[in-house]
Amino acid sequence: MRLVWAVRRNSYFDSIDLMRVAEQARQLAGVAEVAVVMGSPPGRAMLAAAGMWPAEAPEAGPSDLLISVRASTEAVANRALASVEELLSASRAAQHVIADRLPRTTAAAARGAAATNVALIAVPGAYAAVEAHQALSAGLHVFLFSDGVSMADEVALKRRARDRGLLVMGPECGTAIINGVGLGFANRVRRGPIGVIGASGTGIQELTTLVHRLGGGISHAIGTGGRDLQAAVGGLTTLQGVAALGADPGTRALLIVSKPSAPQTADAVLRAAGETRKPIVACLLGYDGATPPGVHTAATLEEAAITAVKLVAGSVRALERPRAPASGARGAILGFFAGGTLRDEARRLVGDAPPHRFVDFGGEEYTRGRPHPIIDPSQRNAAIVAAGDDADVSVLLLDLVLGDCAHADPAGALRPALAEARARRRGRDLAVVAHVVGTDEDPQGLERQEEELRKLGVIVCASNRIAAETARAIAEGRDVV
Amino acid sequence: MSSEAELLRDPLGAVVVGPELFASALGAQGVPVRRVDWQPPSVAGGLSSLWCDAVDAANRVTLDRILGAHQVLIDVRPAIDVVPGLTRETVLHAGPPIAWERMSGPMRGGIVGALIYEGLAATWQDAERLVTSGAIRFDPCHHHATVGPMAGATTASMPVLVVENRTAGNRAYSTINEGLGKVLRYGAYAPDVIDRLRWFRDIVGPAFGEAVRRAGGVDLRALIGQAVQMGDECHNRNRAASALLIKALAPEIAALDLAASERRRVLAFAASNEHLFLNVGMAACKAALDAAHGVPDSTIVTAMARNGTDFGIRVGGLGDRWFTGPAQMPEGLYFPGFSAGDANPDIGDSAITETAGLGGFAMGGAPAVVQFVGGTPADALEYTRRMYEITLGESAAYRLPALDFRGTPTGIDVRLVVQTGILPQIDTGMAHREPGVGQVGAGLVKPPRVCFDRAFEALVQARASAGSAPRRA
Repeated sequence: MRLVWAVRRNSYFDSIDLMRVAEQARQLAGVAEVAVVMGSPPGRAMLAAAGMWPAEAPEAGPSDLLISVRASTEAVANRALASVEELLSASRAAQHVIADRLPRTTAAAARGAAATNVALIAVPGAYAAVEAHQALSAGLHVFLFSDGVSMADEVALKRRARDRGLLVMGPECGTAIINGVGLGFANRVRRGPIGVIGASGTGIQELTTLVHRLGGGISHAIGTGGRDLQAAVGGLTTLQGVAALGADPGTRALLIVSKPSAPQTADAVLRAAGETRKPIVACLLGYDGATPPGVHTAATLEEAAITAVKLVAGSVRALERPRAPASGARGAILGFFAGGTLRDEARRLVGDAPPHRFVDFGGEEYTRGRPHPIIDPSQRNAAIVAAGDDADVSVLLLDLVLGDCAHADPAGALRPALAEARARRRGRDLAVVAHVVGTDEDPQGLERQEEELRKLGVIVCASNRIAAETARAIAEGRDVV
Repeated sequence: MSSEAELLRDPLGAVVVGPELFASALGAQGVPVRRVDWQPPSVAGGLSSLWCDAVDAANRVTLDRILGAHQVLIDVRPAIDVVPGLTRETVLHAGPPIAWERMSGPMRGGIVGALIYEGLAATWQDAERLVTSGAIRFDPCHHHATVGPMAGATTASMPVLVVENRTAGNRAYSTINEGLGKVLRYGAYAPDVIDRLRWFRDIVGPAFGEAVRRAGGVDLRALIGQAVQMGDECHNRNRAASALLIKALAPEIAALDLAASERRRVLAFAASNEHLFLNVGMAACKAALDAAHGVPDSTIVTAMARNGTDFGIRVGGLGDRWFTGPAQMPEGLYFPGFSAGDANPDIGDSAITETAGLGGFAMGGAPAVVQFVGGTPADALEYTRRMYEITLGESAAYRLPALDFRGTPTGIDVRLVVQTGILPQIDTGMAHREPGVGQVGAGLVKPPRVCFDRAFEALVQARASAGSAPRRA
């Protein structure tokens, strides 16, 4: 073992720098120990205690750098000494730049963000309540896209939100339009005086796009989540939404849409709506209770949209209806939907009895662990191909949903599936009836999508109701008028 | 105007937790979006029960008390005169409670040294006999409004710094820092160590006390804020703070009725000790956190401390319980002649600094410290940024120039620690595992995760029983 040492006069370094450099030099092969310290009394004492500062070394002061190396040979020790000098003089330029870190929790993201007022949450249901509660703690409204949130969590979230003057839109809230901004699966619609509150995502999309087609406009559309009007929840979000739209100076009429609900809850909502003293249109599926004065009821989404537009504008553009003579496609309707409410409405209009079948590909059984058909229609398209083999089926009834978060070209994605399904028909007719939920302002463009469908031989309808009735006429062998 | 109305009136600004698709759709509509890098929580269940108004309110109070503390060094007095509950037969130690049998080398060394210093024992064997006879009471410093670095041995005749929290009126205490090398807090108990402690008792303590009183106290909130902007994080790096403290006291020390040679010796000691401020800062942190402790339902950590064997935390709403796990081995750099095999597991009350938003949490302002683990200034900033993930507030007094004078992350939330799995980052010195040797290096360390898991379970249970119990008045 050889001990080699050096003194560098008047070269002050931070002790941490020195420890770092010593540690690096210690890694050289054959080096037993490296000490690099300033020559202050504690530094010298430390070297002496470690047996690394010989008595013959010169005096040193606090601004002198002492370097001492013990190594197997003198050559190795000298190399280590040189490496210490090199390390100390080496440029300390940053070796890497750390990318901007995203916050890991809603709580952290919401903190200190003055201009933030809403959290959009779309994480697996088991974890969604935590994030939503964090948003409420931070004073944010919540748009809760996640499904699979327990009823108890939903009630707890909504009660807490109500007490804080915050809205929880969801869980399982597909869409909302707040102040002209679409959240989730929303369409670009004209702004106007009609406020929408709905427990159904695609129901709201159908309503808002129909209002747009009819020449009207939307102030806000508040999604509530599918269970809001169930007795356990008691319409907490719907009631808050009714009050908020009632007080909103930009809203002149309210349009309320809901899935089947608890009668007493629907009563309470209609009562609250009546108290806003604004015209109300209600499309409450399955509701047969009394309707307070000032509340117009509508049996279909289309009727609701038309009524609302008439109420605020006095008149309304007419929706076009397709015309076609009776075809040979008499038989069963296969309704394949991306929107649950659209499926339900079509089923109600056609009648549920076999041989007709209506499937919601946005239902939980199809979306668990997979993207929603509005984003990725491949599951539905595969089912369309398979339907080509089904000899009983003569009419395919479809919805195509446009909007910011939807598939970039749903009509284009349908083309190969339809071609394959028809190829499998072996000459028998297959009528295809579709309604496109969208507007000319959506990124996909309503006209472009409708035109593409017509090129595929699809009978394009202006509303879900018209599509269902058209499909029914074809299936019954009647003329479409 | 209600908040629902504000939503319908104001421009939208969104936090997006979920697919990129939703964030970009909002961005395309001109909405400012903050994305969350969400990952499933690292804990099974119970989290959502702790995100409620009761906990929010409790944490707000807790945080306000931490951030609002105004600490002033007001005196230096013999511990027996000021530390609550101290007796001549008590030895206070760092960390959560521990029996002699489980104590590590440096902890035992510190205690033996303290007993020798107090004249209760003459030798190690003496001290050990005394301890095993049961004549000596051990208790954590933390149970007596006191904090001690490393072994933390604190006994009756030691002079302690008295820090008053002017906001809440409470006080906290800590001994005078002995400097580096062979010192009691690292378990050294040789005659020169004991002699220095006696000099503290007879000269330094009274001199500091008189100087502090004559100076009308030293405003520590302001001093720490200044030191943070001068490159200290007030745990592993106390250079600026120590200099500022000496600057405040030197004129008064110079004027003391004391032999010139003693005044010089006192000042020379103070000037040579780069960690002089460590104990002062720790007492300041303790004064803030003690005032914040004890708010029912609070999930904010009010103490992190190690005894060389166990790491323990206390939580604002969980009373005086400690939640412990095995103390970890620090990662860092060693003094010449020492290596990893020499180090003791993590020890000392000094993690009180991190608990109060200093130390590792302020590393972004003290990039020199990150070199203990071979890091760069960018890494130092990253350490601090990561701590914002697990804290609820930002200091108003301690601001980091490199982060646009953002306040240091403060108020560790057990909920956020268990959700993210991010553990507090602690700067630390390393003690030799054998008593009597002293410091062997310095570096970084983290608490064992299990402390937070146990505290989390207790919080969930407490919430569950609060929910089912009859409504409190």
